[in-house]
Parts: sequence; C-alpha cells; structure tokens
Amino acid sequence: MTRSLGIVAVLGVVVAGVVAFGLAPREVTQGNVQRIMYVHVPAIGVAYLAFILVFVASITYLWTRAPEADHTAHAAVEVGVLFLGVNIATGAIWGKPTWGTWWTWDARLTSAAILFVVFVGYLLVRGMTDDHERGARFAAVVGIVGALNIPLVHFSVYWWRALHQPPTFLKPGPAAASASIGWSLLVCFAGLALLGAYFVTKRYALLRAQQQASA
Amino acid sequence: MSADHWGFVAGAYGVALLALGGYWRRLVHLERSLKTPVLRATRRRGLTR
Repeated sequence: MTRSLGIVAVLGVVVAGVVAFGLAPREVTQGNVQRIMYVHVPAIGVAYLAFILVFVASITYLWTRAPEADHTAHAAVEVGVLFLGVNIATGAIWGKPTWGTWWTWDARLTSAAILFVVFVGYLLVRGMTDDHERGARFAAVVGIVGALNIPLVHFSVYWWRALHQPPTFLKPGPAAASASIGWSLLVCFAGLALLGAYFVTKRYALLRAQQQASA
Repeated sequence: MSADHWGFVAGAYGVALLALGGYWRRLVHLERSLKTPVLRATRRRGLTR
C-alpha cells in the first residue's frame, strides 16, 4: 500500500509541475517569479496538516501511551519540519526579487520561524534522553504546544501589521486569487499533500520496524 | 511589466527538489539499513544449518 501511495505521490508531483509551469498563467504584476508560489503556498498547507496530525497523535499518546500514536507524531513532525523548511526557504527566495530582501522580521515570517524552531526542538527532545518513554512523553507535550501555534502563524498577518500578504485560502471571505491561479494552487497542494502522506506513512512504517527490531 | 527572475524560480524549485528528494533518499537508506542486519542474520543462520 505504501509503495502504491509512493507511485501516486510521484504522479501527483509531476502533475503539479506541469500545472505550475505549463498551465498556470503568468501573473500580471509579479511576472513568472510568482510561480514560486506553487511550491511555497502548498508547502505550508502540508506542514499545517502534518502538525495537526502531530497534535491529535500527541494527545492520543498522552491519553493511551500507545506506541503507534508516538510513531505517528514522530513521523508527522519530521515531514512537517521538512515542508515548513521548504516553505521558509522558497519564501526567502521569492522575497529577494519581490520585496528586495531575503528576510525581514515580519509577523508571519517570525511566527513561522518560531514554529520551525519549536518542532526542530521536538526532534532534539526525542534524542536527548535514553529513556524512550520519557522522551516520547516530553515530545508529545512539545508537539501539542507547537501545534497550538498554527493559528498564530496563519492569522498573524491580520493580528499585526505585516509585510507578508494575507493568506490566499483559509481566510475570511473568498480566496484572494483569480480562478486560474487558485485552481493551480489547489492542484499543486494536492500533489505535495500526496507526497507528504507518502512520507508520513513510510516513516511510520520504518519507526515501527525499528521498534520491533530493537524489542 | 515586471522582470521574470527565472533564476530565482529555478533556485526555489531546486531547493525544494533537493530537500524533498533528500528526505526520500533518507527513507530509502533507513529502510536498507533495517533490512541489512536481517539479511545478514538469515544468511548466517543458513550457513550454520
């Protein structure tokens, strides 16, 4: 099943690439540099989904102490950090020609960086203790606290004066993009979400196998 | 009309490809390293029988 998901994910990413470079229109104001948005915006969407999964799995772990819940949270954090890293890096690359700077301490950028650091901390906490169960418990608490930052990141552009534009989706009112750009973003999101789902599934299977091998 | 900045577009997609492809490779390596000791143990058992 994981293998089939991997094949579907690769196809999804190929379709996303075709849409981003072949079908999506050239944006009138920004020009072709706006095509960076077809990886930047979906990447934060996948990271949000991964961290929501971390939130649910971490609460489940603290409640039940089921190792499956801990493995799910661990796998989802790795994938969330990966996609959030891609989001931050591609945003910086887009920012240079558009804003004239790679980085600014704007509310959205800063809160996204804090989210990234918190979940890197999650991965460090896991490795810091020899007692696996204790590490998993600490990590679950960090995972819950970290995931609670998602609304702060997403709505920071409304709550503080920010250089970053308001969100395209998941916002009050209709989507802030033309239909063709909006659909292109959704297709690219679907492609990257499939890839994210494959990564989480695969990593979860490996963590289980590691645990069984060491038992 | 603004400049297209294709170099930045290539840079962004290159970084994304490196990160995502790198993680894919990491998973492949992890899977191999998990399978290898089992294979070795199986071979060893085969030799002793």
